[in-house]
Amino acid sequence: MMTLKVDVIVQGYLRELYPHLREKEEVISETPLTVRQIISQLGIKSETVLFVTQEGRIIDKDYLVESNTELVLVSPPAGG
Amino acid sequence: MKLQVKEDRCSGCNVCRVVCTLENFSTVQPSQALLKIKGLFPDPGKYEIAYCNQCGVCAGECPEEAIKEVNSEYDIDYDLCTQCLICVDSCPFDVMVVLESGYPAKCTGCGKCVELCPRDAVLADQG
Amino acid sequence: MLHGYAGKILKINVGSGKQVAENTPPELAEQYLGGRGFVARLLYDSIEPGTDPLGPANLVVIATGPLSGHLLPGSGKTHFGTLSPATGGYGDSNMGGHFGPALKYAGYDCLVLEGAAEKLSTIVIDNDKIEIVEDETLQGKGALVAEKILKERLGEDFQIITIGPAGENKVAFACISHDFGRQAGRTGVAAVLGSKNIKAVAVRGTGSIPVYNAKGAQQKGEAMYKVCFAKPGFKTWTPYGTASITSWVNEVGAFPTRNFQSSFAEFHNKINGQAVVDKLLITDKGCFGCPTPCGKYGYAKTALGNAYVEGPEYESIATLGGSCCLEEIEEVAYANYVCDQLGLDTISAGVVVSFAMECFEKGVINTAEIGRSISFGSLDDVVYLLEKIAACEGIGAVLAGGVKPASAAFGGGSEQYAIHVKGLEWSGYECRNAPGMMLSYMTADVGAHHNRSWALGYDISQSDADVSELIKAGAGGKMDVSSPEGKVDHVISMQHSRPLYDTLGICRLQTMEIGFETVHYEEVFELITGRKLSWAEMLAISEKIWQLTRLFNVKHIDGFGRSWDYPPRRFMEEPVTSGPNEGRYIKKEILDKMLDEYYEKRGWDSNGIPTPETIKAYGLK
Ligand code: SF4
Ligand code: SF4
Repeated sequence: MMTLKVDVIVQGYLRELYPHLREKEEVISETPLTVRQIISQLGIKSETVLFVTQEGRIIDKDYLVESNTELVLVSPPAGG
Repeated sequence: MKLQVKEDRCSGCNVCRVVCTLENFSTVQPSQALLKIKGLFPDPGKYEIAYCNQCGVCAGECPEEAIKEVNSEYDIDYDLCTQCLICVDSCPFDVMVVLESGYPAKCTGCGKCVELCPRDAVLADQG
Repeated sequence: MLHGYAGKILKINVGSGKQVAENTPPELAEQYLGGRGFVARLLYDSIEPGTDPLGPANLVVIATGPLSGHLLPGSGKTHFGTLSPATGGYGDSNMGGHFGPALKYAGYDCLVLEGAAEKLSTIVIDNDKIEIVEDETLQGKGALVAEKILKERLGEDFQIITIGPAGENKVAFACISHDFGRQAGRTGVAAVLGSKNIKAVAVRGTGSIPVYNAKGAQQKGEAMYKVCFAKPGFKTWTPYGTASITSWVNEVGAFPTRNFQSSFAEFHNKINGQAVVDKLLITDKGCFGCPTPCGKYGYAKTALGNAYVEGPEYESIATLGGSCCLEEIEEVAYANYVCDQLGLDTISAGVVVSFAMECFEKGVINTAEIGRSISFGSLDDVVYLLEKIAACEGIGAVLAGGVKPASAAFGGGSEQYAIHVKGLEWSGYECRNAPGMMLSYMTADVGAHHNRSWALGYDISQSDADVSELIKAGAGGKMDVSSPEGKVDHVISMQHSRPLYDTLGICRLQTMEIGFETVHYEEVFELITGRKLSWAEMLAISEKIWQLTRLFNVKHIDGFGRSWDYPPRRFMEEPVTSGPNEGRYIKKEILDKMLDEYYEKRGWDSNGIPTPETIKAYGLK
């Protein structure tokens, strides 16, 4: 069976909202997951994420993520 | 290190100038920086970077031959310099400065601006 | 010697021409750090109760922070403060760009302006040479035009702030303009400059700032930039700037639309961050010291005309795009440009214009009074009203005071939807399903501004509906109700952390956006100033400043208290008309419960006034 392994970068205001998370989290799963499912596995409400990027490009939250990749969760500017 | 620039990447932050004076003169004093950023606003909306490309015009003009080429960079020999400042006026890019001591200063090729430019607008000239 | 600081406070009476450069008092630096702290303390100590905000006795304080102008990320911020003509109470506004650093290189931490010049004048500060130059040729000139004229006259190396016609005419929401696109927009500081007949302040600073440990500070500063460069958000967030949040705010049902009747705009995709990049962008443009330039400088083409303009950033999109319903990004950008030239704060201006549009729709004001008919979504009408306001002509003369006095003048129930707190118009987040954010707006010292506490994300994180799923499943998807429980503590803590950046003279976006750690500021602060202070100790100073600005309002606003802390009745009585929060509003009883808890935790009585024990506990007088 294929194991899915994804690194997730959590930064900015999101770390203030979810202080239990580290800047780099790892998600491992035996089943395929979408970006949104990965976010909720970390205990993050997906609406609090402004957008998600992979290799510098914005990807849809419903995108099915492949293994061994890194997702960056970008947080809202939090009232600049 | 010889510099080259990509002006369209510059966002006008002046980090290059602040680190330049810290590295070369141990002071936070961008007015003395050895490169210049000029914003062309409101129109056409871009930045110009004036920098030393080690052209050597200053060396050619110096009556004391105090500016010498070492590894394709020009350095001022302060033992020979008489503070006539002809070099400062001769710089085609207007990027030499006069220090409070009365001596001229020019880009030393330290590369700090390259290291810290957040936009990769100042780069090492590989060519 | 005070390391890190420039060392002097320059006080100018623009009427008599008297100038004094005093040493920056070490105890002021020690107890209030700088920036917003200096502004609050100096204003509190120097302005007598009963002072007319637009009279010569009011002050404009322009303050840098201990970290402004140094080698570290985001060190380009400057803080402005005054007795606000919009609220009659504490007013301040923060601005990026290059002005503050120049002021420090000229030798000044802070500039205090009092009195009033007889004729329209420009203050020229060339290091220690200071001149007040009468120049009536600048009268009526756009803020950007005036900056260009002065740059050409004085030289590239001058950093300049200007006001537009709106400031000259003392419009309550006139803004200060700088670097062709940076503004100190809020609370009407520019109207006070206008009342002093000061069109511009130009500064050239060629000196340096003393640093406690120059080598160490340089190394730390360099390392701080490298930390930023390594953050993944450095490359992903920077290209879009603050406009990147637009669609997100809409998705969570907080995007003000039709003068805050709704919190959802169908057309959000046409005016979001992607639209700015696709349709307008020429170059990224940042503040002094910034690694993540949020300024998106562009060119807009519309039927009314074309314009170079910085932005629009999120707030302008929300008020001009959302609230006035301009559905194309070029139109939003053009309206933004008109505001910039006239010298109007885009936030208040957008809210005031959309208020007038709703008043007209509801028959509260008519074609004869306005001079034409107006409607949501018309760029032509937006520009018409902005010009009337800046000139204080016809209906514009009434609107120039802001929605609070305008609604009092119009009557007809329009107070219900005059969207402000304390007389300052609401910025870009609709809160009828965001109790924490609502409380943030209600209790912000300057009025309805978002940057003291931005609790919207917290509100969202505390509800559990998956909004996007619901929206995708079909229209009418609802967010679950965000509960007010536990919000007060979050708001209070943000009201200390956010303004601390304004106190230190730095930008908060590197922290908020790309996760730059605050511990770096502690370390660099010590290397620059020689003073060891933990972030927690700095937050305690920020907390004290919060108490002081509250006391300022108590001192200057007649009858100040709880009644000044409520949002407009629309938010407490009228349901949101569409989108994921359709049907929602927050009843006054709920807000009262939150206010009670908030006051208690702040050490204020049930009327919202700091108690004598609280004042004593913070060592304030
Ligand atoms: S550091 Fe780079 S982006 Fe900043 S002003 Fe210098 S060249 Fe431009
Ligand atoms: S993020 Fe924006 S506001 Fe902050 S320093 Fe950079 S350009 Fe200025």
